[in-house]
Amino acid sequence: MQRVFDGLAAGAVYAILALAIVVIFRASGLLNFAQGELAMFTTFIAWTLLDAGIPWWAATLLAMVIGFVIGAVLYRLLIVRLGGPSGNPLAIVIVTIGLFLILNDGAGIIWGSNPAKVPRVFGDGRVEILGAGIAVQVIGLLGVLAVLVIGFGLLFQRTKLGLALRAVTANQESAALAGVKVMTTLMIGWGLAAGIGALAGTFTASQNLGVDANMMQVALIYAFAAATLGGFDSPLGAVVGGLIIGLVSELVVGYVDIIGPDLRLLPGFVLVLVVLLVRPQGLFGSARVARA
Amino acid sequence: MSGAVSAAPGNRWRWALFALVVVVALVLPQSLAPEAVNRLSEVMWVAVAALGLALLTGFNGQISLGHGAFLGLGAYITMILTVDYNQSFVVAGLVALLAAFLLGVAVGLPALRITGVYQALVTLGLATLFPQLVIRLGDITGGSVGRQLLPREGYGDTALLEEVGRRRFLSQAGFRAPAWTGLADDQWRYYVFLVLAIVVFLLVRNLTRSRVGRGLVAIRDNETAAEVAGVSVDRYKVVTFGLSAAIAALGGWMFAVLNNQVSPTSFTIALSITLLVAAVLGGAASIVGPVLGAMVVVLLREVVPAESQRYSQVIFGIVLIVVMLVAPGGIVGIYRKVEAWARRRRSTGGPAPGTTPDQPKPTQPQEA
Repeated sequence: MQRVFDGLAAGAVYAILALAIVVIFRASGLLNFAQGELAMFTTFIAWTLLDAGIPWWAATLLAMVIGFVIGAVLYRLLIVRLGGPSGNPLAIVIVTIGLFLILNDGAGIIWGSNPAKVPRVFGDGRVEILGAGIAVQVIGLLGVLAVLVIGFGLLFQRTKLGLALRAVTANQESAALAGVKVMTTLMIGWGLAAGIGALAGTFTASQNLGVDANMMQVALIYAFAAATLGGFDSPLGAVVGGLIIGLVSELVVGYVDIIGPDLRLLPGFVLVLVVLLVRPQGLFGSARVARA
Repeated sequence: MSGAVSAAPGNRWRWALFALVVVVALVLPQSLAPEAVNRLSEVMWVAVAALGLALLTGFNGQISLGHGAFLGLGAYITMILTVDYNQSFVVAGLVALLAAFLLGVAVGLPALRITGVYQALVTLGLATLFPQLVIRLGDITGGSVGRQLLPREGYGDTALLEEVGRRRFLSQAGFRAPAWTGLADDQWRYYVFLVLAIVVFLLVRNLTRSRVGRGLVAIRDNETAAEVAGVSVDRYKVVTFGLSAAIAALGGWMFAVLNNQVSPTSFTIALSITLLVAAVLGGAASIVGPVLGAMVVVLLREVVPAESQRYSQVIFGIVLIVVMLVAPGGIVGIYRKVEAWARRRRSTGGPAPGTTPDQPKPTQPQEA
């Protein structure tokens, strides 16, 4: 039971990051390999604010806003020049890898390579459930996650912005003809993703009790796995996928000796391969028919 | 279509240039310190691996963020076969090539169902997984400490262990020059590498200019159209992936021979990204490009002072972004543009620009 809770806690963080990935994919059909590093970078900003005496919730909010701005600006300055959603995916992957390197190293240069300490956002309390201790932190995380899923579900399905985001993904030209401001919509999409990323980052940091430049790399892989599992265009799928990935890897690492802690990533990787081969659209994703 | 067909006079110049480069490369080690020779050997293994990646990415439009893993596989197989099983370097190399080809095919297979971005994902996973696997399989691989290529004639191996950090100087072990050559070990190794690099270079060149190569490029530019035109897309893609992985493994063989030691930290995602930088910077859709890129990437470290070494990732990142934005064809792409521009200049006064048979323009957006 303890492992289940640990797995859920880890999964919740992957889920939030996966949500960020899904939002970008929903909005632009692209993957941002710098997503994790963006999250790490904004977490450092949050930590700096925290250190300056700002309460954690304000620091997190501010970091999310800053993340939003960075995400939107990156889209406007870099991705648009490569053609945005209709650009060459190869070029965009390479550019986001470039961003990854800059942010990763940059954070190390600006804030030093020693992990900075971060307190638990929801305090250190524990609650007994079914004979196992569960940290209040984890319950808090799951709560935030639930709010995010519902929020994004509503955003995509019920608001004008969500409609615009979906329209742009489906067909940029038609969307533009129908009066959707494609550029603005996509900037908002990338901004939103970076904003949620900031949230994922702060939670990861408070989970690890620290923030360091490499903290999001493994999380990013898991998040990709989560998004793949859940379906790249489904926010709910991302969250379910994140929780499943968190659970499965925690349980496999704990109970299958051959894997052990050294091979933490293996279960996730295998899961991704299987999903891609058997059901490429993921559990909750919608299948697409390729058109030339 | 980049560089697939070139005008005859230009071709002659190119061969002359190629011959000149080869001659210079042959003479160089005679007048250089062993350390510098080893540095050049390093350029060659990076170049070979980057060529493999270019074949996949630049010509076939598939992406791999995991070529470091294939390189690592080659290096580890070489190390284990020569040290534990007392095989020759030739045998070890062949096994490494075959194993990497098979793994490449295995990784390439899912790529048939998944498009570019997902492939980036899977290969990224592979790159991250590889060092973990190596550590897990510690009994065979030596775990996180890695393996030494121990000399067969009982060289003082404790001294070697101490030198692990300064791999450049580990030239005394393992791969030694046969007596008849009269060469120092580092020179012998250099010449072997040079031959291998030239072979790979010519192989990739001929492959990309053949019928198969046109098929690869057709797939890159439009898969459906290629299929319709009779290219068996699936087979081409998978075999290209395998071939590209095998070439990377050859780079790994060279790595093991050059450094005399392997450890999981050498084959992380950073290596995969370095290879990508080399290919993209030079121009992935060309065969000269990756070689130039490898030179820049390796020699940059020499030029940059030690105290700014920590910025190398930032520099790589900026290079990647700037290249993609400004010159998606890399160094070679810039050269091609300048050449085309010069030709237009020369031909003004003659027929209107555009009627001159220009070098076929590289399909810009596709060049990655």
